[in-house]
Formats: sequence, C-alpha cells, structure tokens
Amino acid sequence: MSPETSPAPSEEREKAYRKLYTSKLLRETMTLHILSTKTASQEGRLVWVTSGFPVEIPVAFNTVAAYPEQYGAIVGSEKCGPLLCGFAEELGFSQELCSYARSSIGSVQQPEQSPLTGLPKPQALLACNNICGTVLPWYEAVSEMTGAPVYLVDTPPLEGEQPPHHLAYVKSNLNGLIEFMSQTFNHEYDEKQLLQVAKLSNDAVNLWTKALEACKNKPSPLNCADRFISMAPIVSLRGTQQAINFYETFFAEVEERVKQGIGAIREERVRLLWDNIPPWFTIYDFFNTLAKQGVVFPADSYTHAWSAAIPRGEIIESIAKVYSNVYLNKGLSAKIDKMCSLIKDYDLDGFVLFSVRSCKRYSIGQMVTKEEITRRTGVPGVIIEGDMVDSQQYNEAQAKTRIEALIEMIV
Amino acid sequence: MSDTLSYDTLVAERHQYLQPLIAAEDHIIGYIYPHTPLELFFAHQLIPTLLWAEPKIPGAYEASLQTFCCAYSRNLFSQRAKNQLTNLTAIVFPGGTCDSLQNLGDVWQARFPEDTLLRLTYPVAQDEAALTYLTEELQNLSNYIEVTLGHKFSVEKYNEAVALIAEFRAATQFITAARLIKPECLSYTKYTKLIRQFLTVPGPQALQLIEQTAIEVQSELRQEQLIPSVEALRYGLLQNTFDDLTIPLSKQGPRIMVIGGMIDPEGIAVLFENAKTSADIESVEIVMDLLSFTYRTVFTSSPSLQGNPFQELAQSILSAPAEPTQEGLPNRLQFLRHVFDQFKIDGLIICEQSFCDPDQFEVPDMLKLAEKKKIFTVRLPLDPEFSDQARIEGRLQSFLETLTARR
Repeated sequence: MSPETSPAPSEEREKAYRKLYTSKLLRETMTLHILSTKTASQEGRLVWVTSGFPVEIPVAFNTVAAYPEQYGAIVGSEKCGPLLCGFAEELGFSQELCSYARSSIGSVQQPEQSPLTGLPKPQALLACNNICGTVLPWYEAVSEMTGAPVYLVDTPPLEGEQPPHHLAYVKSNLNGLIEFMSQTFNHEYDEKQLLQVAKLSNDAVNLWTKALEACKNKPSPLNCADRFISMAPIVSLRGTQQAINFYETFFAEVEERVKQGIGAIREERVRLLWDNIPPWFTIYDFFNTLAKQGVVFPADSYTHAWSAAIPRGEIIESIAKVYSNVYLNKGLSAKIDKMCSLIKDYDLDGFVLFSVRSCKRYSIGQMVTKEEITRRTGVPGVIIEGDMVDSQQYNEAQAKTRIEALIEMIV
Repeated sequence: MSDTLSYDTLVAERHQYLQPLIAAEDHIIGYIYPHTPLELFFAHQLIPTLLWAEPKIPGAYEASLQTFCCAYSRNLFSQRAKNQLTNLTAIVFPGGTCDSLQNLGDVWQARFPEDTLLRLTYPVAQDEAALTYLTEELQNLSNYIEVTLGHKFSVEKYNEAVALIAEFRAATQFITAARLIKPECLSYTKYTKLIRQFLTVPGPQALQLIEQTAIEVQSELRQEQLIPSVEALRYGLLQNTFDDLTIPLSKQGPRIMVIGGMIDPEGIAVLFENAKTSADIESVEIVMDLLSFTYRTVFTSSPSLQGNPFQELAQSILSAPAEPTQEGLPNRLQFLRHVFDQFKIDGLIICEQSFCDPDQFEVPDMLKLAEKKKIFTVRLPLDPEFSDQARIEGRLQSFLETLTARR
C-alpha cells in the first residue's frame, strides 16, 4: 500500500468524507505561488489576470500571474466577503455588482484589513471577457486605483462554430497583447518560449482532466469541494512546471483511490452534478453535510472549464481557438449540452444549479437549463440561490430544504 | 402649481405613434440597444422601433429570469410573456454588450421559439480589427435577414435611411449644442420627447418636428448672434475637441447634468419637472445628459454614403461617444472632466438602473470626479418603470432645494 492510501488517522475514520493527502502539497504549492507574486510585484513583473485569460502569453514574457477571482475565493472562505465588499460599497460601488469585483476593489482600498494584505500591486491588468462582461469594468476600476494599465482580450460571445472573422479578431487581440507585454515589460517576444509554456500548460491540463474523468468511477474519488480546492494550480500556475508537479502527485492519489475502490465520501448513495461557482464561505460545511447523507458530486460545470488543451497548429491561432470556445462564451445551448453530457458520462442521479447573484453570465438562464436538462436526461434538478463571496446573499436553510427535497425525489 | 406629469401618459403616447404603422401592416422590428444600425433595417424594408419598459406590466418573468437580471430585460420579457409585443416582425438583441442582455436573448429564444430573433454581436474594442469584425457581423446580419425574413437589401432604401438618420442627428445635435449655451431655448421635456418620438417611429414626420424646432431655436439664437458658437460647439462635441472653445453660456441659474445608461430620458424629464414644481424652483434646468438614447445616440457619427455600407455602419457604431459597453474608462473620465469644466455644471444627477453592470461600475469614478470639481450630486436608483416615482421625485426635490440654497 502506498503512503497516499495508508489508513486514515483514527480521528478521520468517523467522518463522512475523506481528506486528500495531496492537500498538504497543495498548501505548499500555493504558498510558494503567493510568495512568488509578492516578489514579482517588487521586481515589476506581476500581472493580474482573469480566470479565463490566455495566461500562457504573459507567462512566456516571464511575468507572474495573480488571480483576483482566486483571491475572491480566499476572501469568501475566510468569511470576510461582506467586510471587503463593504469597503467597495463605501467607495460608491453598488451592492448589485459582482462580489468578486467588490471584494477585490475593497481589498485594494483596505489591504491591511484583507486576507494576506490583499494581492500584491500589479504592473498590468489583463482581462479576457470569455467568462463575463464584468471583468473589463472591474479591471478598469482597479486601474483607476492602482495606475496599472489594462489590456483586454476581446472574445465576443459565439453562437455555434467560431467563424473566420471572429477567429481573426481574437488573433488580432492576442497579437496586440504580445505588443502590449513587450512594451510594458520591455521584454522581447520569443515564440519558442511560448511554445514551451503552452506545452507545460497542456501537460497540466491533461493531468487535471484525467483526474476529473476518474470521477466517472463509482465510488467517485473526488467530491466537489476536493475539485474546487485542488483547481487552484490549474487556474493560477497553468504553463509552469509547478502545476505539473502538483497534478502528477494529485492524479496519483486519485488513481490510487480508484484502484482501491476508495470514494471521496464514505457511503456514496446519490451522485449529483453541481453547476456554477461554489459558496466559498461555506464550501466544506455545504458539501460535507451532504456527504453525511451519502451525496457526492462527481462532476460540476465549473472545474471542467479548465480541461481544454491548446490544440496543435500555429500557436496564436490555437490559443485564440481554445480561449474563444470556453462554454460560458458559447451561449445557453452549449452549456446545456455540456451538462447533459456530464450527467450521462458520470452516471449522475440529479443536479444542483447554484444561482449566483454575482454572476449573471453563468446564472441567467438556469431556469430554462433546469427544465431542458430534465427533459433531455430524465433526472431531476433543483435551483438554490446565493452568492460565492457575499454570504449576506445566501440563505443556508432555504438551500438545504431544496436539496433535501431533491434527494427525496431520487432516493 | 401645475399638475404632476405622469410617465404612464408618455408611454400611452408612444403607442399612439406606432398605431399608423400597425394599421398599415408595416414590418416593424423592435430593438433594445442604442447602437443598433437603424439604416440597415430600413434597407431591408423593416421599420426599427426602440422598445420601452411598460410601467403597468405585471411581472411575468419569474419562471424564466432571476431578479438580478437587469430590470429593463425583465420588463421586456414580461411584456412578451403577456403577449404585448405581438406587432413585431422580429427583435434584434445585442451580443457582447452586457451579460443580462446576452443571456436574455438565449432565454427568449428558448421560451418563445416562434419569435424571430436577430443577434448583432458588438466588439468591445474600437480599433481596426474591431471595425473589420463588426463589418462582417453586419454583413452576416443582413444576409440572415434576407434568408429569414425574405427582405432583400435595397441600396435605394439604405441611402434614404442614411439621409434620414443623418438629418435627425444633425438637427438634434444643433439643438443639444444650443441648449448647452442657452437651455431656456427649449425645455428638456420637449427635447427628450422629440428624440423619443423619432426613435419610436423614425420617419419624415418625426424628423420634421425636430427640424421645425431646430429652425425655431436657430431663429431665437440668431437674434443674439449665438449661431457661430452653437455650430462650433456642435462640431467640437462631435470631434471631442470642445475643451478649448470659448463658449458664451447663458447666466441662468443652476445648470444640471444627467448621466446614466439605458434610462428613458423622457421619464427623467418627468421626474425632474415634477420635482421642480414641488420645490417651486423655476430657474434650474437640465442642460445636458449623457444617456444612451439621447447624447450617445445623437452624437454618434452617421455613416458615409461612400464606400462599403457595412463598413460605414460599423464605423458609425464604433464612434458612439461615452459608451461604457466599450473599453476606455480613462477616455470617458477625461471627456466628463472637460464637460464639467466647459459647461459650468453645478449639479449632477446620476441614474443607476437596477442591475445594470456597465453603468453601475462607472458611478464611483464619476462621483469622485464630481466631488473634485465641487459639483453637487444625487444618485437615483431606478427601475425602468419608474415605479417608485414619488420617492424619487422627493429625492430630486431635496437635491434641487439644497443646490439652489447653496448657490
């Protein structure tokens, strides 16, 4: 028996869920990353990027990327979302705006009251609107506060296949990014370097995807919280050797669990799909409470967003293709297709759609989605409401009642 | 004290404007986003009409849209669910402008598959690549209309439409510039009504009303030898080069400016007039707004008749000023700085439509700028139905009273 699957400590035996041993490595990896962002900021080579940004390009320019959305997740899990959002609201930002944006702006305004004293000061702000339209005004607002320039990779929403003029437009934006990075960081573009980064990115994405796909097994080796926490390196270290190092160990643990028939939870009775960002402020409580009832989430629509590798071909065109075709950029029908195929491929009994008030692009349309998925797959679903960072917008009792009703329908 | 104006009455008037078209069984296409290429639809023998929020519509969106979807989207959806948009041949939805409208189109298609929906997706950038992209999108939209509705692109109709919209813009630009110099030459209420009437039924009749008003304004200002200043200002606003002009502004009391997005300017005029009446203050006037359906529409450059029509239309759309759905907050703040300085703005009304991301994100920076310039501000949280009319008017009344007292 390998150390990864050695018997759990006695205090763990009673718990309904199993902790990943890789979580220690995850903490170390992310701590090193946070330290590297601080150093990079001091050295004048830190960029803030959105989660769907083609980060391979800034990494090839020897800059380090920090992710305000990931920072939002930290803010949420530290349960200080309302405090930081409040700082932004004091500046005049409406409470109706995205809580990732508000908490990020709040942390820039009051770093000393923010977890990790906020993200280090950026030298550039890189946004790609393939995930939502909020990222540009959010980064423009941060730019007004920090003085860092904004570069937008504009990927207009697609309907169906990507037409040539769309691809040409996105390519032009990426070429503009290269020019922007060269000028801002006084660093020459090196295509060989970009190809190398893209390869590292793909290697990490492939390992991550294999870990996700391992959840087709019964019992599922990973639950939702495992994936949401373990996705940190695929978001923020994509294109680096550190990400590969982490996911090699992570996937080995997942594989071992599959081989041993060890599930993420002790007794798997109901398999559900999760849709959207999680409520970070209660992520463990939420999923572990359900684990006690035998509910596992072998798949979700969110963490699968990082499972597309850069295809072969001319590198800029390949990057343009993969980052334009993020399913959030492809309309409701693409999202429904994706979720239906997850339900089928992972043999799921039902689904939970988290209606996140902050995230209009992800959430508006979920009522149609719910009906359509049930019509196409025959499995029931439920919508719960709340927010990913701002716990004031979340009603725990209401969410639990709805999910319990769903479980009753299934069991 | 005069009677209180009602927003409902204005909306009822818009139904009247549309009646002749409906009676003649014209093909009407509804649009939502301000920078919709009206000329393109005319070229396909479709009459574009700007849709509006119905104040009395019962909510019928709850089974399809969440409450955090923008209020304008929810109202339009409710109208459709209650079968109140039955006279439309098609609706054109914008893509890439905001997440609510983007997803609204998808939900609409799923709920009302019998409707003909057209989508025009806009780039956020404004460079050469964006121009090429938008040109192709417009060409594709034109092809789609031909295939779906069977309406061919007519060069003759296109040319007529370009002339019509250009004349509307020229006359309205003149009035806008004239009001900035001498706001008492035309009330904001009348100004917004003229524009709204044209956008509801863009045609020679509505244009004639605007041109007639422009002639009357011109005649009044000519006596004061203000025409060269008005023309210089109009040109300066179009080119965004008005910051070094010497503008002879009228001395009349507090000068108010309105900023916001897809808020109904006629509705704002009603609220403002009622607040003025309640406060019993006559001298105060809205001298300018930067709303989507007035300034941002009117000061968009018209397409040239030379060259490829789709490219010219794309160029026109990308020239829209102060548009927060496009990139460039620093430019918009610089523009606003010049506006505050040049037009001696005393008070600023900031309209925030419920759950409208593009506009709500800019408010704090605008507030900061106004504070720096010692401009008195009020924020109005609004829904497109102006359902909380009395409370908002009370807020405006306090604003006007305090502003006047301070002055």
